[in-house]
Amino acid sequence: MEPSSEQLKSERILAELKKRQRVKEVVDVEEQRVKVVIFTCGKNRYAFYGTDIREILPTCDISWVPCLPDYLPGLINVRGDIESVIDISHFIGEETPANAKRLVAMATHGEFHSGIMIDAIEDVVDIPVSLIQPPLATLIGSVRDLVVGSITYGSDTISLIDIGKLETLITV
Amino acid sequence: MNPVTLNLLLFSVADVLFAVDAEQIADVATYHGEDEDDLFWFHEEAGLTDRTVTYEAFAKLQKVPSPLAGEGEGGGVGCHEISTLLLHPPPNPLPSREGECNSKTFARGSYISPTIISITTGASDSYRVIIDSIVDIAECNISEIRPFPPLVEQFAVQKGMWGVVVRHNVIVVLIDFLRMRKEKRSGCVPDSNKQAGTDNL
Repeated sequence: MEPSSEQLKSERILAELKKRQRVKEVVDVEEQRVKVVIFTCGKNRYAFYGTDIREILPTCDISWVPCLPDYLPGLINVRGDIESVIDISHFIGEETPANAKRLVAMATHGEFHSGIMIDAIEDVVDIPVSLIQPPLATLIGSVRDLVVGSITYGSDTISLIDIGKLETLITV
Repeated sequence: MNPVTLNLLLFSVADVLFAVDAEQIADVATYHGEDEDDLFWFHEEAGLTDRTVTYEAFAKLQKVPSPLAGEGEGGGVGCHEISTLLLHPPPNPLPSREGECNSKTFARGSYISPTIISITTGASDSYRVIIDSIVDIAECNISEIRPFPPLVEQFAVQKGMWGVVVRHNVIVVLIDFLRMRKEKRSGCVPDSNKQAGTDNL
């Protein structure tokens, strides 16, 4: 006769399964996710951290100001606030048609704030942080200084651009 | 004590709308082709000579037939007269620049109606600048003036540009001609690392 206190095999298995499920749930809850804004500039897709992008402005007039460097096409009026605009294609080596209608992503990162010209918004997605891979080794030029990682989107590998690095590149 | 309002003379060069405090202007006269040592073209002073502009901010701007560009005998208009000409939103569309320019041309445009403004320097030497298309005279509360964003300020201030105001949804760049001349005389070379201040304005 088996002792009554001994756990049945089925009970042990069931307990193990429940334990595994609890661990999985904990893992699911704790896996950090991050929102990224995927956009196009020139022929390629790139991404910003969603926390760095305040809003996307539709095509708007950019007021040119003399003596600004090429990467600063001018100023925009955002509901009464005057903001600078950065042409990011200058840094990532993309060519954009001169008269193309483009969007302005309003970026904020700490004290830094500016509009950034992009071609179009592709998507806004939540991804696990673990899916962010190191920057592609094939990146060349100043874009290397801006990219903090790469993510897979569909069949593409997209460079994730850090606004903080952009700020550093421009202001230092 | 700082003033509450400024009287601004608005003018355009190369499709960019600028404004200067009317107190800096001693006289306004039509340009008749003079070539003198104290006379400078605005686009050269402001650094518009070597740029190609591809961003239009001027499309909706309208122009007032200006009574300010002194015509005929007497030529100029004193500062006290300018400050009394506070105009309403202009009624007429800005004429196209295509085919109507017969004045001195520069890299990316032409002066439609070159006008000399004499700057009040407070010194014995004179400083006159040729501008184009006086658009308006407007009273502006200083609370309407916006400093340049930090990224832009470091470059703009070195050419005498010190802020902006928005009129009829168009961004107007404020020019301080005294600062412009000072920077020019100091031989200031634009330096992206320099965070220029505006304390001399």
